Amino acid sequence: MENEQLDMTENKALELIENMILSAKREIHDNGFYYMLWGYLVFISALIDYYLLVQTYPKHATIWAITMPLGGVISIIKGFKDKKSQRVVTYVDEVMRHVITAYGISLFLVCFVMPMTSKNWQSFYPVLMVIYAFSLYAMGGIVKFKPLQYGAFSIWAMAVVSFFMTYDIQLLILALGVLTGFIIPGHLMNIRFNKNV
Amino acid sequence: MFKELDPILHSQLRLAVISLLISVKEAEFNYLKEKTKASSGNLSVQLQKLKEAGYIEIEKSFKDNFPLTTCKISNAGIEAFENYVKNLKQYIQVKK
Repeated sequence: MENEQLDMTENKALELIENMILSAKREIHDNGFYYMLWGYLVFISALIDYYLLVQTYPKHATIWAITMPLGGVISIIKGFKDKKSQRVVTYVDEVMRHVITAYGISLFLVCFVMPMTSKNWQSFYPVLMVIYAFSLYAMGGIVKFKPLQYGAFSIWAMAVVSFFMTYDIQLLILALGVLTGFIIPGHLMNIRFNKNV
Repeated sequence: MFKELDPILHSQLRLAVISLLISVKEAEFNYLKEKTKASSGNLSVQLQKLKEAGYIEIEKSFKDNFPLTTCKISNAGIEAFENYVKNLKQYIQVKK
């Protein structure tokens, strides 16, 4: 691009502005990694928990204590790596950061404070699913990716059903929920990302 | 009455940089270089001019032991860009 182009016409200037704004808007960082990571971790954990529960294994929920911290460590490492290679911060990134922070705090409260009162286990997974759906719907709107929002609706619907189910069935519903809300949209996002690269 | 187009922005490379920066929160030097297809030397000079006009903020730091230049548009830059586009539209409407 030339240094000074004083003969730049008004139309050319407008075209240049439009091209640059569009070019910046096309910046898509999200390859669906986190949706797939957490989707698969929760999916596998819920099914293992369910299997151990029906086998009447007393510490059936131990799997969560392994998979969730594992997901946390992988996410932190990936986050640092992504930050290093990120050359531009868009406003979408900024808003997403706020939503993810709010999501993280809400999850933390539900996962660590709610179980302190053991009588609330009946609502634990349904509430978790409501938070999943809330975040997925917001994130889908921000990045304009409909499958995330469809996933959110399906998780909301499953959460409603889940409130009236027993713990073991809730685990199966949770697995189905993350399949539709995280795993499938995550793969679709990955396909979109690879097409744009 | 036409207002004159801001000479700081009425330059292809500077306008391209400002248009990119208005769309993002902040961008690294190499990102701007890649998007505008400008040479490093030319881009540096134009960024400096935008900085002197108060339109952008430049932050110099290090990333993996390499110097890193990050740019973001200032409030004055946003205002100047909005005025530039407004004036540009007036010119275009009259020419139609």
